[in-house]
Amino acid sequence: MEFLIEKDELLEGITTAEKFIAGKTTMPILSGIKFSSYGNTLELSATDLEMGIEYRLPAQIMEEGEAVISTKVFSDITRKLPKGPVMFKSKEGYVTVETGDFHLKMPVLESSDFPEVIPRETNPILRFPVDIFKNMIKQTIFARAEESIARPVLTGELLELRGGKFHVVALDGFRIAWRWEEVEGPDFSVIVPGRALLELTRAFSDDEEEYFEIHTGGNRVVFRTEKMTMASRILEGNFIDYEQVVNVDPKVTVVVNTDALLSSIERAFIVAREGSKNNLVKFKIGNNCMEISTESEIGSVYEKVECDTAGEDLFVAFNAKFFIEALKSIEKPEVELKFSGEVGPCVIRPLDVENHINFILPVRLRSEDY
Amino acid sequence: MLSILHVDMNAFYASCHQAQDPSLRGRPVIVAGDPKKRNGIVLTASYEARKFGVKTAMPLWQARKLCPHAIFLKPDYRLYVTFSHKVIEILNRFSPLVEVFSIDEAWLDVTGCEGLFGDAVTIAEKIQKAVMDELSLPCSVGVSCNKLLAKMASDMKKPMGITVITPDDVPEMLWPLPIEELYGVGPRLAEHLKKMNITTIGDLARVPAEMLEAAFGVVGLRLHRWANGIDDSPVDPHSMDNAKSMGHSVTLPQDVKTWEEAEAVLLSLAEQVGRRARRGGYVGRVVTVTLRDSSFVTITRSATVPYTSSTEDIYGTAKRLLHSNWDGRTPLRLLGVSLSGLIKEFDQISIFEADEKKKRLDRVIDEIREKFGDGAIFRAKLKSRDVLGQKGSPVLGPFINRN
Repeated sequence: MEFLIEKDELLEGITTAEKFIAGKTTMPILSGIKFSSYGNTLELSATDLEMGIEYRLPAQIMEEGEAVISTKVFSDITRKLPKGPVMFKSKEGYVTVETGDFHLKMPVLESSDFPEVIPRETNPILRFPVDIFKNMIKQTIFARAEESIARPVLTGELLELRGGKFHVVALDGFRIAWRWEEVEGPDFSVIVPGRALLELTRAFSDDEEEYFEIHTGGNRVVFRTEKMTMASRILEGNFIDYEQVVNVDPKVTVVVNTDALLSSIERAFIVAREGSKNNLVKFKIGNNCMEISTESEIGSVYEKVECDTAGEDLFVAFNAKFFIEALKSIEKPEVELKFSGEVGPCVIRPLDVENHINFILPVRLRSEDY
Repeated sequence: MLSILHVDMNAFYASCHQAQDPSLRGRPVIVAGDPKKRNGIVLTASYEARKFGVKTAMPLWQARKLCPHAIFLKPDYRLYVTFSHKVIEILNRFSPLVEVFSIDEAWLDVTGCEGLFGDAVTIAEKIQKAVMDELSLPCSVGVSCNKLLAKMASDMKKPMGITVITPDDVPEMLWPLPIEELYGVGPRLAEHLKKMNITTIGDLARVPAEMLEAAFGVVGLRLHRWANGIDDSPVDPHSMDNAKSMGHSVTLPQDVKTWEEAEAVLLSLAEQVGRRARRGGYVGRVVTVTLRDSSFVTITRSATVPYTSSTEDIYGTAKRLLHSNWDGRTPLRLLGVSLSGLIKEFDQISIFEADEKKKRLDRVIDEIREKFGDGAIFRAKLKSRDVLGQKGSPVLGPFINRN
């Protein structure tokens, strides 16, 4: 194998691919990136067996072939190389990298040991714009569970097409974040690990025009653009019926300025997270007003936020972090909150927007908190 | 020097109702689980009802028989909490050092407050008067030189008593009392002590400390000091907010040699740890298991879990740690379970019904135990198992080391 590539291109490829390398592994081959050259393309592959990527870069290929190189040293050196073309050759168990007067020689790993990164046979299930999908992930992924021994599926996000709507849903057992968009296509449903989706959104280019394809093959899901193909294991299990759950009967409906409410809760959160660390903020709702209060060992906060209220008066408490993350995901100036009671959920939507829903369950107040 | 006060509210729940509704004053008031249900029990009876023989924990039908004209009320915990806060506000006027022990009990250290309010007995009188004048609630106050004696003293005269115990009074006032009257001696422990021919506090005080230590460990030493009226624990206003970990361990009457037995002990310990955390309003995220084998080799192993106070979660983790750190054969003489990384509880409601069920189960078990005692309900796994030295009851009594 022999090719010539710009240093910046090479570095971009390595930086993207190395995110998919296994941190700790008993299989040395997984600490490597596989370089494959064909046509006018250099393809970098990396996998930790949970997920993997093939990233394609333009290069001048003198000789087609493949080689697996241990990543750590190679990526550190690439970072330090001067700008300009880099010459890359592999033969007889070694690679050499040359630019200007610099020479690097390293042994290669056995490329026949390198596992399959992308399943060979996959079925396309959806074609969708990259920028909208990235936003859908950003607006939901915070609500997934970081870890869940009891329910591992909650560490992932549900991607589901049903009746002409593409749904992206994350939930951790206490809250749900849900976005959907109308789209044509056959129904499907997969739960993708959150980590894979985060790396996917980073690996996507910033080209706003671009579309990507979702495929499935075996127990894996594949995301494909012109520049890259990424695969991830699918999490087995069921999500709860989110459509049913968020369909609540509101006791009081509030319409409020998104930023005003967000910054008020953020102020309260600073006090709430100290000491008791339970992030509890209390809302007293009624008479076109939300009173936001909290107390901890370091002090107490009280603030009135003007709003429109319709319904009964309500006193209810929430984990401030859940509210902050939900409100931050909202891009509209006004937000509608439907509270269903002291121990029932609050359903949050940007005003007059149907396809962006947050659902948060409250914290049950103990008698002395009143 | 006499500077520690113990304030004990008299018939607190019943008194709160009488304070709130003057028409109930002077009349027998009985607060009971659910007056509509036949199987309710008396939570508190006002002194007017006690005259007829009505007692706490008595079945409702019996109370009705003894005192048919009594006013039966359902408990209103929010009312009690409100009054409890008001009482504490009054106490705070007299000293910055107020340790709230429960909804109806608190200690005060009035050292240095004499110049402002008079000596400790005068302060006790002022507190009793302020609580009665402002809230219409009766209380008894114990005055002494330490927390143990002040608490024993407040118990001596009810309602509206003020009792002073000095260290010199201990032989006369404390020692003749039956052993159960000593703070920290429950029914199980009393039974053990009686087997050792210890029936009064005086008997306990005169037993050599070493003997109690040999029988009950640290707990034995502490009891010996208490029986002698000695207690150097400070009045700590933050006693409840400072908990970093809660643990129970048990030295077993016989070495444990099977998975079944070891798991039963862990479950019992997990129940106690969970209950204590829930009672204090804490959740923790580190579960630690201590295993000591018969050659005194001790290991401790921890695992981090999502914040919890649920018996099931604590037990599940403890069991996992047991299985990865014990061979199921080496005789074990001590087992311990603790929960640390504690923060104040927040009862975040879950989408999943199973999680809510788990919480409800713990809550109901706790309530039953508060009312009927620890032996009233226990998990089937602990039924008729002899590892803890006594069949059935999951209470470890004297072997517990709280730390």
